[in-house]
Amino acid sequence: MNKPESFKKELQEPDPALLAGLQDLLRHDAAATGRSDAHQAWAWTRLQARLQEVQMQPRGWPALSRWFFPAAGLTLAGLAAVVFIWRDSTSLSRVQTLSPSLYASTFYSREAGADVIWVTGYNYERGDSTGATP
Amino acid sequence: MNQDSAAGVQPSGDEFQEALWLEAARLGRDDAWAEIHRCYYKNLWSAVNRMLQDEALTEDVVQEAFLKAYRRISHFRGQSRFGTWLYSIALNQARDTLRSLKRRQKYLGLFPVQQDEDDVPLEAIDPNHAGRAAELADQGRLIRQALSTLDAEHRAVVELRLVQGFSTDETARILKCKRGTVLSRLFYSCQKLKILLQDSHEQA
Repeated sequence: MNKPESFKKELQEPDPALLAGLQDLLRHDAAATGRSDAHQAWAWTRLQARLQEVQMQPRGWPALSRWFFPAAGLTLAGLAAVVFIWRDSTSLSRVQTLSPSLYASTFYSREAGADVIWVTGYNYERGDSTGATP
Repeated sequence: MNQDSAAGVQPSGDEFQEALWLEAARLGRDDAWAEIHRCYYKNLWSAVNRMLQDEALTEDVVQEAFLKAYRRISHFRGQSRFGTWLYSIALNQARDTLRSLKRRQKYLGLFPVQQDEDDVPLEAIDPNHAGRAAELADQGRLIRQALSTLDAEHRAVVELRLVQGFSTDETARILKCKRGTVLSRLFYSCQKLKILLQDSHEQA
């Protein structure tokens, strides 16, 4: 594929004279605004304290702490969901047959905080419908 | 290892000496880490600060980079120079910090970006506004202002290639991008800086 001239130019090293000029300016600025020895000594003292903390931690702790807590959290959330679903499903009582075409079920709705009586033409236990409309 | 090398790529140029320190660092020896810190801290700080333009944030990022290097030193296989590896950790850390800052600002909007006194809008240093530019007598300020008009990724390329003296390939490795991307960013940055710094460049 033929690349346009301007694009080809972009992929070449810039003019060395321009680079050298900018380099001088930038290095001069970096030297003027850079960190002093005192800064470096302070930063090392600060880092050393952190390194000692790291050394005190048991080996493999960073990896463990990185995965353990999210994994434990997910497991707990999963367990809570399972318990919630199980409790809800067990709250469904037996389906009562009201007539050859009507069935009723009573369950406790945690959301509503009350017993709910549900009458339907669909037999959920048998999995078929009589076609009756309650 | 000598900390005052101009290029900053290889603090001493003495690879053998550095290899000895690295071996000692792998064993967790404090004196080796002190030496590595002494050799790389200033240049690393300068590179990260050029990207973040925030001294306090830079200090934290550099410290975090050294901590990561300390934890991962056993994974360093010497496929690249130690300096390249260390810069790669630091600048990626800086990039992550910038990203999380942007995200925080985007979603919260509670903490507006503190404008540094050097952060003058582009129009203020545009050559077309020569009168305003002439008021900015300090060359250093002019340079920093010009650099602040580039985005962080472009500033990182300028810093690594022109100030720290890394090669194009090494810069690409550090920033985890293609060689062509580095060249393109360098080209664009140089063109823009050339225009913005024309006055001070001619003086220099």
